[in-house]
Amino acid sequence: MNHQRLTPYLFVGPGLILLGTFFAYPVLDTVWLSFHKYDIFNPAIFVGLENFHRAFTDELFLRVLANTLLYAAIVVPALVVISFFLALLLNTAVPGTQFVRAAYYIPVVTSIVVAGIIWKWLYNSDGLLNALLQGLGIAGPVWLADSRGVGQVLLGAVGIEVQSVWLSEPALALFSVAMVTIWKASPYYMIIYLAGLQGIPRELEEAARADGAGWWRVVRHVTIPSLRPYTLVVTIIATIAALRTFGEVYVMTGGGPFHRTNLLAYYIYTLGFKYLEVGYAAAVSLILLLIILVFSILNFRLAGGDNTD
Amino acid sequence: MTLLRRVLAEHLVLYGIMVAVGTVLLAPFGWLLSTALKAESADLFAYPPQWIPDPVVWGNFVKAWNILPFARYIFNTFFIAITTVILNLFFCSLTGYALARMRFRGRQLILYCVLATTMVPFQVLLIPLFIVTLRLGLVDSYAGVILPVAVNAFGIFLLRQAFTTVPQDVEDAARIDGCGDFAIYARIMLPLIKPALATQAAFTFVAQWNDFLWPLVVLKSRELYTLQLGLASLQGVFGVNWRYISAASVIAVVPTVLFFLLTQRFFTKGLTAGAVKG
Repeated sequence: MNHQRLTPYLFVGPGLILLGTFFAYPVLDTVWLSFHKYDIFNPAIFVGLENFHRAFTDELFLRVLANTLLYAAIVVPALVVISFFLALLLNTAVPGTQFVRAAYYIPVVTSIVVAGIIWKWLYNSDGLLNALLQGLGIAGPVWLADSRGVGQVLLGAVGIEVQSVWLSEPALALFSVAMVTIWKASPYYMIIYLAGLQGIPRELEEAARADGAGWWRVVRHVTIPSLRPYTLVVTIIATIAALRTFGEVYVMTGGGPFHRTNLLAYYIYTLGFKYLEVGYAAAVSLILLLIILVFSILNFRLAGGDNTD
Repeated sequence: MTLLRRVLAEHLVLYGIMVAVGTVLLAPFGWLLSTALKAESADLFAYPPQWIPDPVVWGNFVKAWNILPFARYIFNTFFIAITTVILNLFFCSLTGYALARMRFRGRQLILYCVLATTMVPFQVLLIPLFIVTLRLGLVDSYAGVILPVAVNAFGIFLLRQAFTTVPQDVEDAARIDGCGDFAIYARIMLPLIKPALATQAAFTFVAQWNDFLWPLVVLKSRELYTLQLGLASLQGVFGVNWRYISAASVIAVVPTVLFFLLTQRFFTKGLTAGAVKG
């Protein structure tokens, strides 16, 4: 009988030991480290809340935090809109859609290193994008190295030079990084929307059409409202993903120019592995975690909070 | 006849839009390939842009292959990805099986804990995870890359979900035939959830093949580098020779794309499994 009782624990044991070592312990360690000054080589010194106090007086941290929120504010709405329309386009009965869907998905399975290299090349000051702009008679910017605001660049293109705090955000460089994320991730969310679209009863749309509603009216009044739960999930997942962006920054900009593309995950990495400010990095990690947890809990409540019984 | 015509016209318009959108989405790859095939003498910045290289040269691939130890990187990446898939399937299915089909004290608690792990992103744990790996003496080793991802909450849930759909009769019959718990799991249950295992395997393989941040932190010696690390370090090696960089990127991306196209039905299945509760 004893043997019988032990069996389940033998099954879950190995998995739990791994999760404990490589997940639970690091979580607790982050909390512990955030109250200490530590550089891996010397013993940790307890400093109380100093790391957190430092964060909110650290101009660079505040800059990076603002960048990260701005970045999410660019990426998330764009992803929701683009992935929705991609899904709408592929939610048709014409033959060959399966193949098109797979082709669209290729950016998602491309590694961030390759994606970063491709876009760095496209963004080159004499690269393909600027050649296309030249074709339109526009002198292209330096994209990833441009610290001017998107608004300033656009007005500058039509000959208006303005110095305004409001137009200086987001930097064109940050916007250029965001474009890569949008390109790479939108087919991923497209799949989620496609699942949603397939759940809408055909009769609903046909009834609306029979009432004389045009394509856009059907989309606006039937499709979009029916997909609300999916839009919520896409928004939340995309927000969490945007808040943890690392690869794009590492491969394409290294956080520059003037920290205008430095995002929290990259900042944590440089703090920890370049400056060995382990305690401070842990405090910044915890702040990022708190922001992400808000969205995770939302997501958890929406998607299957009761699928555990 | 007019109906047929209308349907035909509608299809043509749809195909037109699909091709246009697809061209925009995939053009970056086309430009990468075009750059990789351009001769030393060809002007990369020629205006208007030259999509089809003239002449087409394959030498950049040879050069990229010779300058970087690509064979080594590919071996490392394969080894890490395959080992991770095997361990991950084993540990996730073992845990998922018990959580799905066994009654025991603490089961609900364990389930909630596993669920909680999905809320904490990897980036937040980067530094303490490195410290753990350092203390275990696993920094700069294959094991250091593999073990932290040898089990994951998503996998446990996916497989647990699959195990719950197997009818109780199957298990009862096996028990009457004298099968022990492990035999039921390994010989009866695992073969019955093959589709879910395939989904988890495909996901894990591509994730590991493409992973960058954790290998970047944990691997120090070049002999252990994965393809992605080698590629990222390449920008320094080649200066700004975009022909070689592009050729190397093509070498790195082709296996993932092929693998994905061959296994894509598992991808969409896993993605939509439980993404949204209807």
